[in-house]
Amino acid sequence: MTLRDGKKGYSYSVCTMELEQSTKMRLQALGLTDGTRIEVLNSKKSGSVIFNVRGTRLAIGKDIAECIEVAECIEAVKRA
Amino acid sequence: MATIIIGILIACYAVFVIRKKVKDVKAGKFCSCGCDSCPSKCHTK
Amino acid sequence: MKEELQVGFVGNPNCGKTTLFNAYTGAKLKVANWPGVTVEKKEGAMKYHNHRFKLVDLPGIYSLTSYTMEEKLTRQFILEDDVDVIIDVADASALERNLYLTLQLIELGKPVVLALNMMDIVEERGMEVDLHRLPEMLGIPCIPVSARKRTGLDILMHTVAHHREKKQQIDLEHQHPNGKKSKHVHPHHSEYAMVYSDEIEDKIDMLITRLKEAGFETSNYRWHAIKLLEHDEEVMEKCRVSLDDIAPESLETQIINEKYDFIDEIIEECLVNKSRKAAATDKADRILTHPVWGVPVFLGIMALVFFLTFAVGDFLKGGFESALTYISDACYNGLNAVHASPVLISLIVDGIIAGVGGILTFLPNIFILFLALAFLEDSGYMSRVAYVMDGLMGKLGLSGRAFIPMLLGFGCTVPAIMASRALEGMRDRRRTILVTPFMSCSARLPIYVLFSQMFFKEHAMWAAYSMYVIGLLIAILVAFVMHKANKKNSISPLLIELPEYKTPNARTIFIYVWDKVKDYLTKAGTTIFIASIIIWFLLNFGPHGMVEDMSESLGALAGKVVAPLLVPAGLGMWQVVLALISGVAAKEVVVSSFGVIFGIANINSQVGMDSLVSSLSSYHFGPLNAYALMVFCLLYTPCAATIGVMKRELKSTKWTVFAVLFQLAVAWVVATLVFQIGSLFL
Repeated sequence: MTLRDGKKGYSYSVCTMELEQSTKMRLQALGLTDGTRIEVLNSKKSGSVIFNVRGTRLAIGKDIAECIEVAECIEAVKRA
Repeated sequence: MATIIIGILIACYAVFVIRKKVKDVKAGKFCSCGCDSCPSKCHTK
Repeated sequence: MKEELQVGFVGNPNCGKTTLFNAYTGAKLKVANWPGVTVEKKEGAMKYHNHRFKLVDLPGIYSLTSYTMEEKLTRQFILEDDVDVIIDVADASALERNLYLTLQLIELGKPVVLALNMMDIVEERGMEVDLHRLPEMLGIPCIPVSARKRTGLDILMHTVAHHREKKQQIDLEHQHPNGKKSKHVHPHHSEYAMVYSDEIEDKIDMLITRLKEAGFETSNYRWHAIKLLEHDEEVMEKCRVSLDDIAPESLETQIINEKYDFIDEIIEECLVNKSRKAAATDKADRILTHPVWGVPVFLGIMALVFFLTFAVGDFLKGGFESALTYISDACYNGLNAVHASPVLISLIVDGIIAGVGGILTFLPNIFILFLALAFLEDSGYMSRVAYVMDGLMGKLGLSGRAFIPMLLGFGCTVPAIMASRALEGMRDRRRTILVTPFMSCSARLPIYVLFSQMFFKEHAMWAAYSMYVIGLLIAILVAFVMHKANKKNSISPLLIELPEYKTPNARTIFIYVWDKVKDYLTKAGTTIFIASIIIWFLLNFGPHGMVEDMSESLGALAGKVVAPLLVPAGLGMWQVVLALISGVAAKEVVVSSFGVIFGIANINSQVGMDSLVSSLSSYHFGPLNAYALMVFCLLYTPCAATIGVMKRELKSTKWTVFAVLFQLAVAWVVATLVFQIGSLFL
């Protein structure tokens, strides 16, 4: 699944990012590296997502969210 | 007499303002307040 | 006195670099609670004990790559200029992310001091930072400060002064990722905190040898080697060594991952109670960034801002009016008493006081508007607006980020255009710059206040509010058309950090509002003063000297040449045309010119308005004409300052001329539509 389908309140871990080099590097610099755990705080129908990564709230547009492949974290589901 | 004095005062102020404006615009400064946060010093990169 | 130390403030966006800079230098640079406020390098000086410091404030960056304009600027500055010490400002409440840049800065090999800003917030939240372990692991001094509360400032500067000769080598305890023991002997351990996996370290060593063999001279081989492994364009350009066997592909991702692995270790050891989150922010965001309610809430907030601007501003203006009437009378009597000539009296009373004084009575409205905007900017809501508006902006081919400059345009177009620098890509910036002037700035406020009160009485507020909506709609429409006209439809997607909400700081708000009020007063004393005198001259002198009848004056002659063009828009009077032309100097001048042209001393008072209405109605200028005038003023060519800053930011005369003419055309078309369609019904 991609981050676009991420549900509010759930945690995910980042698998791959198929993005333009510059965008990818910016996200990585912000701490969004492979395997990083993120928590979706909010998402809209249009596809923009707010999530928490390493203590930072980030808002990204649909075009980025679509390209970030994530996997659900099981323990987090329990918590939510 | 008063007319001349006041007239000269106004003229002096007007000249001062215009010169200052011209100088600011040449320095790349467009807003008139002279505050630090106004776009200025663009030539220093 | 010792020589001057050059100190650079580097750090993530919105971590408080400018607040710290202001605290040290006494400067009043703009600070607000959204990332990307500072777009230019600023310098300042200070003295501490025996040292002189030259402080440099830089735009915020997340890393030292060369992908964005600010990153390039900052990196260039650190590498090329003579920075003696770098102060790495970090938001201690988001230490994990901030440390990434810190590790990169340390690798640059210049003396770095870590300033842990916002320690007050960290403490409030119940988190603790191990200030003994952190410097041990990083190998640089770490000083807790609070730029807002101005604590820890002396200690930080003291450290900077002493850290300059940093060459004393501390033995660092090294953490190797995944607990592997390194087979390497690293002489650089004592200099650089970050040690990579053996695989990377091997390559670094090989590259350093190769760089030395190639005769490349630098004080920091290790940094160049790492950048080569990352395939950094600028460095690859600079040192042309073969990478094919060592790193045929960029190892940037791996290097970033290893840095974050190290950061994880640091956080594990140095941060206590790191799971404490900002519950208040999450709660507020539940409403303010709600998928459905986000947009209505934003529109409601903006409506409230304008309601306050008109209502409270109106409430306060009474005092200003009486004062102006009093001054005007006193000047008239005083000048008569000293037997000044009637020409001079006319210049002062009908020209200067009518023009400048008339504008000053709108100060309360301006004050309230900027006060409200200051609250919005300092609360942390601006970034949320970018998120909330991202859906709509996406349809226009712009990222939600572009809405921030547009929103700032409600205050003043000049800084709004400057703020577009934070956008990526020239194409996005150009389009944002072209539509920002359609957002109704504060200088147009007096025009709406005056004409809506004169012609729309009890519906005044709606008439004025509609201007903001029309401006926004036109901006959206223009952006949409430009998006569709462009074949290459690549959208730069939204990517923005959402800072925590905080109670706006009194000092920040005061600086912000005071700046704007000062700007307004200065404008009244300079631009509007001169414009009023010029208009007075144009109205009282004809081709053959002074004239009795204004309609034979130079101003009237000039106005009459252009007037026919504006007949379809219902603005075909030479008086109106003259006021509009003069408004290019600054939009407020439209109002002051009306005052001078119709000889009204106190244009914003009931008496002044009544007499202006009766003068105008003798030319059959009614409510519809007034509305067309308001629309025209909203949309036409922006003021001289905006044109100047547009030219600088667009870096193109062609585009600037296009923008100016384009806006004039849009104004004419829309005002004509309003007038013609309106005429059918009225």
